Amino acid sequence: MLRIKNLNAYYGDVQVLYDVNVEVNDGEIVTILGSNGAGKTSLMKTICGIETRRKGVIEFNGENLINLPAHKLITRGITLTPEGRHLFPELTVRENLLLGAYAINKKINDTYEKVLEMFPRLKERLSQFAGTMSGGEQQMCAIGRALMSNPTFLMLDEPSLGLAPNIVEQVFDIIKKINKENGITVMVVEQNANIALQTADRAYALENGEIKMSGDAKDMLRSPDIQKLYLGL
Amino acid sequence: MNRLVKFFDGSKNKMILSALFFLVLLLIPIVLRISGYENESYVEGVLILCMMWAAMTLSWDLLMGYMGIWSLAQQVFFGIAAYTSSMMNYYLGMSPWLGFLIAPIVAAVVGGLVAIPVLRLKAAPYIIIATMCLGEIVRLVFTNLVDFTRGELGFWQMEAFDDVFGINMNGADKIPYYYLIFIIFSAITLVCSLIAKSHNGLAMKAIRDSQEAAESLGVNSTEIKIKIFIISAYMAGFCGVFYAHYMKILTPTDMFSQSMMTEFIAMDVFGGIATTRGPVFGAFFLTIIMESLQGLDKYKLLIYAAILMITTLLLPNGVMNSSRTLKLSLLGRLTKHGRTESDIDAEAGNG
Repeated sequence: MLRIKNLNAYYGDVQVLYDVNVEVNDGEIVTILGSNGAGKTSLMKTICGIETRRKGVIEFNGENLINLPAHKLITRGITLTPEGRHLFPELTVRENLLLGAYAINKKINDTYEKVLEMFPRLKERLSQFAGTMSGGEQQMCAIGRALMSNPTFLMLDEPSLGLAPNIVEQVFDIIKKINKENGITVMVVEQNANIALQTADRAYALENGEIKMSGDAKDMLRSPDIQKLYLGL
Repeated sequence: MNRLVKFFDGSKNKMILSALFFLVLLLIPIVLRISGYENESYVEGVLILCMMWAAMTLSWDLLMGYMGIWSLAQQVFFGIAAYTSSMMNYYLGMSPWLGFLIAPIVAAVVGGLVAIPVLRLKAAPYIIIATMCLGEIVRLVFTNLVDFTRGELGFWQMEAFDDVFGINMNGADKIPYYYLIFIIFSAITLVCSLIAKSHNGLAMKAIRDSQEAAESLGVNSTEIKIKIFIISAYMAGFCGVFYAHYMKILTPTDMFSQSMMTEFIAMDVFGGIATTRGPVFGAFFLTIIMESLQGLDKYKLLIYAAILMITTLLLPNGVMNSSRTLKLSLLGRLTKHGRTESDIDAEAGNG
């Protein structure tokens, strides 16, 4: 589905990604691991074309996206949930969800109902300002908003950020459910390697802007290097 | 409690209130004329100012309130349109009515050109500096291009609007001007509230809250920003043309320095940003207060400042957003008491 070849990215003159190669197949959950400053968020932003200058090939279903502006990506079926959720705090939950379908010209009633069914908590809070919800609810709202455009490929940037451990588990259960039941391919960037590897099919480890390791998530979970670097064992 | 929250949300009440407001504005001159009130033209004069500043503040609120672009150059669009229309009249002898056709377009072009550099700036302080400088640059250019703009002397005694449909527009009777600005003001109010309610209105607020997320959802922020800059400048242009041929005096200092802009800020923030009622209320209230304090002369600014400070302290989101402020605090209290497990967990997780 997604093939990234020799991707280099720069903030001004500073290079942040070096010849990154990542492949995501249809129906997979792929996770990108990495510590602080490894370039995880930069990778996500670069794929979307936000903020960075980039060189290389980003092929999505056979189309090269390298010159596609950020706001067009959603029309190809790709949605990003940015790091720190980036909800619109002064808009209501309902408005947040509707904005998720901003670029979609089709009727959205069915999708809207489906999303609310998936997140019953949001249904209770439709007219509440998004900024007044708890962290977990905000993350649900961000994922719900991303699903409003009926994506085929969902990118999540650190969905566990600032959440309590049991909420993190809930969020990852939902990610699994989205993947299995809705058939959406997921790419998730995570610092919490343990839960990410348990959820994902395959994983990449990013360090200083380079891919250092890649493989089956279950194998990675047992790899001594990964255990030492990311799991603190 | 929920019913209370709902009451403050009542958009139907708001519709009725705004319809009533426009009806009253429409009827005031007629009532004054019939009753033979002796200060008729003074009252009309104050209301003309109110409507003009309200229209200006509304046009600026599209940029600042809805999109969070702290552009402090709204008076430039206003001034450029006023000067364009005056110069067309002075040098070419064109009718001021033609000013309405051409000058707002000139202002809109300037607005579009201003948008390009401003778009490259993300943080509010840089936008403020850049747009303030623009005002200064334009002021200095207009002061020093003496052959063209008559410098600090400015333009005065411009022609009034020509008579139309047998209505005398010489200005002795304020009623024609009153209805002229009433039409401009109503049109701008209508356009602003339509934009706010549209698909793009939601996208504008999204850009304000998080441009990154908005773009990832398919909002073309560059396009929307340029469009709104152009629309906003176009609307300010209409007010500028009206001002030129109503006040009949233009100087670079009056038109392009920050003092006028400061009033728009006060009116908008006082009334409540990102609403249609806010800027209108702020403009009317503050203009009327300023006028009614004329008698107190020396203490005028002191009282004005006190009113501004007290209201911003008590109603930080502006007078017309006070229901929202209240709603937020009510909801805050509600969730504090009826806290769910996940809230507590989340707090524990954050700590």
